[in-house]
Amino acid sequence: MDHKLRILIVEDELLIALDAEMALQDAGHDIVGTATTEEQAVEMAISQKPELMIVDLRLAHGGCGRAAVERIRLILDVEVIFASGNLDPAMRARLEGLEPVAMLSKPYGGDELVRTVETAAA
Amino acid sequence: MLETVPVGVVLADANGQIVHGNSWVERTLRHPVRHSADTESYGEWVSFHADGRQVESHEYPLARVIKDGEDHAELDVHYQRGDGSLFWMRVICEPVRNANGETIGATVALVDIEDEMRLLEEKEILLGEVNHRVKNSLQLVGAILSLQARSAQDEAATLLQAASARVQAISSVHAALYHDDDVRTVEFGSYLHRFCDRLADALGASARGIALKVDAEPLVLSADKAVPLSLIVNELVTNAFKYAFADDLIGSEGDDHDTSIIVRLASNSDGTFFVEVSDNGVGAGTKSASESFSHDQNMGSSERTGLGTTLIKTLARQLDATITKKQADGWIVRLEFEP
Repeated sequence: MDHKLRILIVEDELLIALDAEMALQDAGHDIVGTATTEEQAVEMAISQKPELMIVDLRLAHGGCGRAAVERIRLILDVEVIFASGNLDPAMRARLEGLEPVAMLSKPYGGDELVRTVETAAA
Repeated sequence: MLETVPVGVVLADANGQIVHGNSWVERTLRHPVRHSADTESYGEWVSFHADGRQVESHEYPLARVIKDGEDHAELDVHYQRGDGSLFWMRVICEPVRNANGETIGATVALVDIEDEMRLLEEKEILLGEVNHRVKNSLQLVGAILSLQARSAQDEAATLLQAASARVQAISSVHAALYHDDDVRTVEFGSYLHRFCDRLADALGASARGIALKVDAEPLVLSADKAVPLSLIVNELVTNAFKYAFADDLIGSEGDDHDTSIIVRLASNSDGTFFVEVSDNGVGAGTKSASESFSHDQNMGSSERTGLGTTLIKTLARQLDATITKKQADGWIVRLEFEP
């Protein structure tokens, strides 16, 4: 895939975020930052204007990834990949409304993440 | 006597007309007993299924006993009381028969199961919480191994990548556990497709010009079978990638040889299943892993082959599976097991 993306990672487990960041950087993408809370996600999205966000559903300090995306979308048009350990059918149905380009079940591997992002970029 | 039992009791005649209800009914349902005329009119008692759909007259246990002739019928409903509040109630009905065995009426027992439902709900929330923790922790373990592999050199990096791949083989089963509503089982057939796609990526299949094909029947497996099987497939496929094909033979000009590894999951006529990994290469391929089962040779020089062999052997034993290998085009390793 030639198209390299500016990506914001929204994940409160920082080692998971770091691994994702390195895997995506190895694949040539540009990581504009890592947000661990809902507030940070909104602020960083607005200041950095990423093309794609990888969003965990449960964030630090009781934050919610879905709510963050809803707030960001009011201001900014950005693609989203949800990544969570809680993607049961009910949750998938709830997330459909936000039209994510993909939903990734945790635990996912670095290769899987990179491939999902490249499908999104295509 | 009906007044002394701690449940609601409703009596109906042979046509299903409700003729009596004890005081529990009025006290708990907060409305007078509704003397519905027949099995078509139980909708006067307003209640809902768990999915929010209103319970229709013919779905009530009393209608099933009187009209459909069932010997015992039960239904848990979210009942709407006279004051509009809702509570969970179990409705149990059995026929009353005369000496000739003819149904002359029916008895309905109503039981308050509010506490039971609340406990069930709490249990599900807790289970969801634990599952979420497990998945997050596995993701964390995988991330640490992969970060360490990235910072390591040469052979250490290779070893860490192998460890990371094995953790990933376990993790991906857990990721698949939530795909349907049942968190205890995995549909292994479709899982195998996703798993092998990922494995092919990780092993650089397209760069090496090797196709990894999956041919799998649907098979629902419990997690304690799916995890070892996933690990075994990981080892066999990784071995085939490593040893079956000499890189200088792949995609060489004029070579119409289709370089592929095939993973099959299928049933035998006796209800047992098998997983088979075959290659059409020239090298040791899947042989190196399987040969040592019969000869019980020591672990060999390469960690990958050595530990891989031990893993396959140990996990096959855990599954009560038998392993066979034969040479056809390339090597075929087959694992027979009971699901």
